[in-house]
Amino acid sequence: MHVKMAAVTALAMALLIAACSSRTPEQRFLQSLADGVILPGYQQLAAASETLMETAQAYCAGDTDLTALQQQWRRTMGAWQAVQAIQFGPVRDDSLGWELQFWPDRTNLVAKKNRELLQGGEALTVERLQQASVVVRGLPSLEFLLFDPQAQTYADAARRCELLKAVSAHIAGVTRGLHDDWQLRYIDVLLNPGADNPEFPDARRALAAVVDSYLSSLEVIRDRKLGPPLGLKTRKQRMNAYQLESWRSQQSLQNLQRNVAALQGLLREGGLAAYLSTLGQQPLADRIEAGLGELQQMLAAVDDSLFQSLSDKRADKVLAVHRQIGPLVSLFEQELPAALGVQLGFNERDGD
Amino acid sequence: MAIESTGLKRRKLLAAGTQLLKGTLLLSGGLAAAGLPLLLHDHSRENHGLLLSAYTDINGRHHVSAIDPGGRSVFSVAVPWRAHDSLLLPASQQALFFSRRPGNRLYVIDVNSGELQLTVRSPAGRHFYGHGCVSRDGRHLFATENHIDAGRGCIGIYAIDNGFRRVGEWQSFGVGPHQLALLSDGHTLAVANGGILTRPDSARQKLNLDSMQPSLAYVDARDGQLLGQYFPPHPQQSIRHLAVGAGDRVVVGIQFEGDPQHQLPLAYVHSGEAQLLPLQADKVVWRRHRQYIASVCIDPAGNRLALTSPRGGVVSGWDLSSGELLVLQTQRDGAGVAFNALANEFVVSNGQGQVTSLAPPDFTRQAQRSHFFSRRSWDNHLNFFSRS
Repeated sequence: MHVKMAAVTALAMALLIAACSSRTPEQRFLQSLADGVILPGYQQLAAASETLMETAQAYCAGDTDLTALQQQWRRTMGAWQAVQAIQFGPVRDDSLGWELQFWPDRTNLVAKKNRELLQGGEALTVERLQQASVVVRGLPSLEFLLFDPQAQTYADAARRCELLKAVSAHIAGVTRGLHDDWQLRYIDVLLNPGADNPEFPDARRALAAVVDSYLSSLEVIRDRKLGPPLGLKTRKQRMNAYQLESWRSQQSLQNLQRNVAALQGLLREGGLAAYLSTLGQQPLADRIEAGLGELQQMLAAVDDSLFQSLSDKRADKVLAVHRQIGPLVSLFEQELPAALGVQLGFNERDGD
Repeated sequence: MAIESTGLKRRKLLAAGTQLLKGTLLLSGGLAAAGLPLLLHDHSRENHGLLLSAYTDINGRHHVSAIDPGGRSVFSVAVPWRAHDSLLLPASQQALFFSRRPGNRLYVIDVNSGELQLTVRSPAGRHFYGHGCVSRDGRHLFATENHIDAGRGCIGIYAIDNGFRRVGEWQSFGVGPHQLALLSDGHTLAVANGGILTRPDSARQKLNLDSMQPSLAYVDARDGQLLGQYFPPHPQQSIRHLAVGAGDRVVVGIQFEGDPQHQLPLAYVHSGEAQLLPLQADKVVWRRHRQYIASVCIDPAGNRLALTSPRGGVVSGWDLSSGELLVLQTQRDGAGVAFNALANEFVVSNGQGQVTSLAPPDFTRQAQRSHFFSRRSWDNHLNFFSRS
């Protein structure tokens, strides 16, 4: 019996090894991206959100303090920033990015919509939240409740707690759903390109989607997270710290560090550097790594929060960060697709 | 019937419009280089349709092409400039491909030989925007063009049976006219004036995003008179594509140039009302289209509508009689959409090389009738024509 079992296991192992070794470098890359980056990333986001919900409940029951809750919000926001570059799959198919983070918020809708809810008479349940504006459902809404003194003027602690619990429960539900959907369904779409796959007719198209997605995250950093607050390409050409992401918690810089770490993760745990190496493109991998490393150093060199730096008009180091992104965008937009032999969104990026 | 007044026609004739390049490009070398199966196929009855689309190959070369619904290549011709929309002239079995802005070429392909017969150039001072339509009698071609010096749109008129000689032009009554279509009366042109000013010397840069005035204009093809003009609620809702359904119901697709966070409807319907009526949908639905509709397609019965959004990576299917959304499905980089009247289904093409059949009633993907061209990125528009 045991022998038979062992034989079956050995056979299964042999088949598995054969299956693995017959895989193309593209498949191996996609597999390591899924196992090393995507699934753990969404798993961590779901876990952080779950803890955030529990911490909110504990805080509202008087079992923990505001600092602990704020701290858990920071962790959750960090986990979200770590997967923000993954703009394909369930997060896109179901527009869930909006559920987690309404941003940029140029007209301070977060304060306005929170105020309406807090000052209204209805019970603030998850169901009520789902009928409300998407603005109040995500992490910026919690940030407003936890970090903005204005929130205290809108309602008493009990009422704010109702909303805290509902929003954190909603976020926990959304992030759990994202993780489940990746695990149970979408991972197969990504890992099995082919003519019958409605999204990825071959592996090169899946690679293109990955590169496009990470390229977009660089563009978002440059054109949304840094450009408008720095007053670049805006009408008034004036710095505005309130246009920063997560300005209330002064976590803008940490967000960027997580975003850049995610790009580094694409190369390392995600296996892009190894894949490039098999293509004889190690120098390109090295250049991207070097560029990202330098960007991290420049972020670390910003000695104050971005909010403070911009408020004090001491933006030299932030401007240097902004300038550093351009060459990285070129690497992702031109050289990486060329090296991989893929074409990025043909109609998506150049329509008419 | 349209453009009968020869006096007017001659007055408006532009000398440069007669410059025709007669089959100057012999493309067999280029075709071979593309490495594609190019020989004509003997069509079986069920594949009597033609799907026309431009594409760019993996080496970045531009082509105009036709496939049959079975996924076989009917022709593929390498062309120097990227093309946009297409037409079939059934009487002469010619396929027309318009170069996209700011191109000045119109490629005429003989469908039976699969060869480029003629390259028509827009006259000096004009360029094509990428779309056109044909008069009911099949004698004239109307093409949206840029009057470059005036910075406004016009509709170039070409005599098809006279070697595509340009015989006049009408105003489009707006800047940046894009798609246009003829209504059932045979003389009313519905014109999507995108409102966006571009000039060839600044390539595709949008020069007037703060002062746009897009519109849906109805222009009389006989005399160029403006019959009516309708403006979207927001001046940055660029109206670029349209389709005409049964009862001359016009559906326009929007590309919003304003604040990306500001979510307005991305499609409007018009059939005689005092204003454009928005297609009603939850903001979440419109958000998935990422402020950009690439193509609009209505089935001949006028019941169903398909909108594509390559930026959103979706195609949406609608019941046009109720105005309800039927389905919203992922279609990566999907832009072209046509209705295959023989098979009674929509066909969507995308930049990934896929051609996907979506069958009624709920736009279900038909794997057996979907095709993948690994070396092609299908360009913005796909058209179906019955050859019988």
